[in-house]
Amino acid sequence: MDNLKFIVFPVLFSALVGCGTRENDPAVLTVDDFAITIEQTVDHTIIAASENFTQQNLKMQDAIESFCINFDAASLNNAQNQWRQLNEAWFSLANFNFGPLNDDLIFPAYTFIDSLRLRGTNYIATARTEIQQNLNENTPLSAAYFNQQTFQKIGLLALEVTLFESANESQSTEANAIIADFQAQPRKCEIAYGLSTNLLERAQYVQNGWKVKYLQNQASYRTLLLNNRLEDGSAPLTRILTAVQEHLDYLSKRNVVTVSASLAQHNWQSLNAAISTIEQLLNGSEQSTTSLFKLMTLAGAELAVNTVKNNLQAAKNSIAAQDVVALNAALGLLDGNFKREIPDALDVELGINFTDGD
Amino acid sequence: MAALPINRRTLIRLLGISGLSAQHSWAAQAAKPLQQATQPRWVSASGATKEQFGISWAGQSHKLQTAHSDFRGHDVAAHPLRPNHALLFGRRPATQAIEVDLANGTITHSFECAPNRHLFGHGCFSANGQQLFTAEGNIENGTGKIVVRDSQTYQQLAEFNSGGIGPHQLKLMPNGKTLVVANGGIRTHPSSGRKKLNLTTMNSCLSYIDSQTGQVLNALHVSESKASIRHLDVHPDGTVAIAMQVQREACNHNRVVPLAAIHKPHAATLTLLEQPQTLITQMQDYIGSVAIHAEQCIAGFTSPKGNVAAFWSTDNARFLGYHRLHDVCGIAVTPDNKHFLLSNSAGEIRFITAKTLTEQKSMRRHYPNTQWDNHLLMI
Repeated sequence: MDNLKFIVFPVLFSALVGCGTRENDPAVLTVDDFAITIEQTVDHTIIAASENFTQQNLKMQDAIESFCINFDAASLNNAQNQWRQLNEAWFSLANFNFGPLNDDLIFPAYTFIDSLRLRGTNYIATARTEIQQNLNENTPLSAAYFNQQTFQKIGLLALEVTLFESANESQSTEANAIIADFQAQPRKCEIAYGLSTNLLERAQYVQNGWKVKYLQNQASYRTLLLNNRLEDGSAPLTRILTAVQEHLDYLSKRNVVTVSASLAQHNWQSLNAAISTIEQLLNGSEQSTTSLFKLMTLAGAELAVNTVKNNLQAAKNSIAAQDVVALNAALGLLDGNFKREIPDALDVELGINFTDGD
Repeated sequence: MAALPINRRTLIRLLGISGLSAQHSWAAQAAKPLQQATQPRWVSASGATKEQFGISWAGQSHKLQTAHSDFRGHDVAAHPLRPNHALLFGRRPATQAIEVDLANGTITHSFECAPNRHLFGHGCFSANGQQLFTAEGNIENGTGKIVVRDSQTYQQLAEFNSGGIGPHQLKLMPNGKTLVVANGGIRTHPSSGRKKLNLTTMNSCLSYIDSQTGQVLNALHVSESKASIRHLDVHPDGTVAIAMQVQREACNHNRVVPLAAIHKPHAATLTLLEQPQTLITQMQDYIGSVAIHAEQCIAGFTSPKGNVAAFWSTDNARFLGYHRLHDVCGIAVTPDNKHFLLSNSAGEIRFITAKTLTEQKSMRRHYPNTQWDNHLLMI
């Protein structure tokens, strides 16, 4: 069984759980401690990210409703800022692109939220064309209508285009032009609201999958994951680490910071949200009594912990400096950490074919 | 009187191929072992560390056994003239292969490449079983080679060019004479391990070679120059299914590149399996293994990087379905033709019913502490 080495580590870990032990008690880190850490990681970071994404979507709806009643600069600014918050929430959640987010290999849920995520293709032209067509036609813009759309035409990008530029030929990003556009074309509010509702429903679907019921199972994905009952046979931590690694790989190889949230000019902040969530995944949240970093330290991998922390800091520094080259370098190093240092320290098998195929 | 229409599936059944196959390719059937074990076993390279490397085998009524090797293996092949014996080929750029008696786990033979040669992990036998063909590389200049050996002594008999650089999997075509070779196009050198040395100029191809003369009869390419053709399987009708790995770091675009293709007999080009793109994207530019189910005309492909096995029709290239399994790479067809068999590095074995492509969960097997490696063989 994986992770058995933790059973035999005679370590001092009174600081780990924080209760039930006296100072200087010799303690042994057990599989149970490992399970608690994974459970807290899932609850405090992953599911929390899903819940926050739902919350930000609800606020997005409210902001659009408010703007479409008032049509003033303050309301537009509020809606635009809410989109930025929503995008940050997405970048946090996108680290965990498995389970409900990646529920189907043909029509995975995540593509309908973020079309860029599939393979880094920017579908902004498609989104613009679709919005223009919807403005010019009389098709009822119902929830069913948006549900039937292909992934390139809906999601965060389409909503960004709707909120951050005018739909006429000028594609102006000036507030006055955008407001005038909304005022002149009532269907644009219907589009914004329809796109937002569609996003909210997908966020709720993901959250429901994590917490209540996943696909045809009689259990939530959380239950399946924590009880080692995933259909594909993945161990919980393998699944989590692999997903984060894949996200880091995507962020650097697709040079996401140069493509994403360009109209909203919120690319760096969104990247920062992704990195901060990864940091929380490893370091634990304020609610956590233990963390993956603590487990690594107790396993004698302090050097690896410091390496990862340094790379996280390098990523944050590069974001603060808005340095693309430095960011991609840091993302590459973190990508490697999730392939080697972290799984090695935690005795997690990513798979021999996965790591070194032929 | 009108002739009865006979489609290819019917023809295969009439020929009785499906009931005979010890392995899933015609070539393997032609050189199948003289006596089969009454109960089939799955055989694979195994192990994640040098201490664990070897060849492992098990079955529904066979406990797990392992013969250790000093090298990481890649593919395995059933010896056609020695019942219950299998060969384990060293993974590139190894130079060793061993023959193991599966009845008792004894390593009965071994061989090393000639100086200035290394293996790519694959080999296959001639139709009469007398010869072994191995995919090898010239260390000095990178030229791909097919080395012909006596299957009893493993003494080298001949050598010819593979038609490209980096020959990987090779199989015998149904005519029993022609070899089909996946030339990955990537040059490596033992001094630099598995480092790819020619990504900017790589040129992969599928070559057909006369196994007696070494003449390259045909060579086909895919349009994406950074797609490396690595693995293949052969249908009894001569259709070849190929599996590729894209060297994304050498691409100057981020388009989805098809990872699998079908080559029909006499077709001038390969038919790429291009849909569904979301699934192909999930495969992360990497397919590790392929097996054809002859009777159902289905090609199964595995992607350990995508944690998925996917199935397409070899008749019409239609996508048929997928199955998710962590780090899945081994794929084979059971001797009774009822199932595709999948394996992974977590020691899991899964049975996928070939007719319905649904998993038989009750048949799952799990071997803790066993890592099934890249390829799987039913024997």
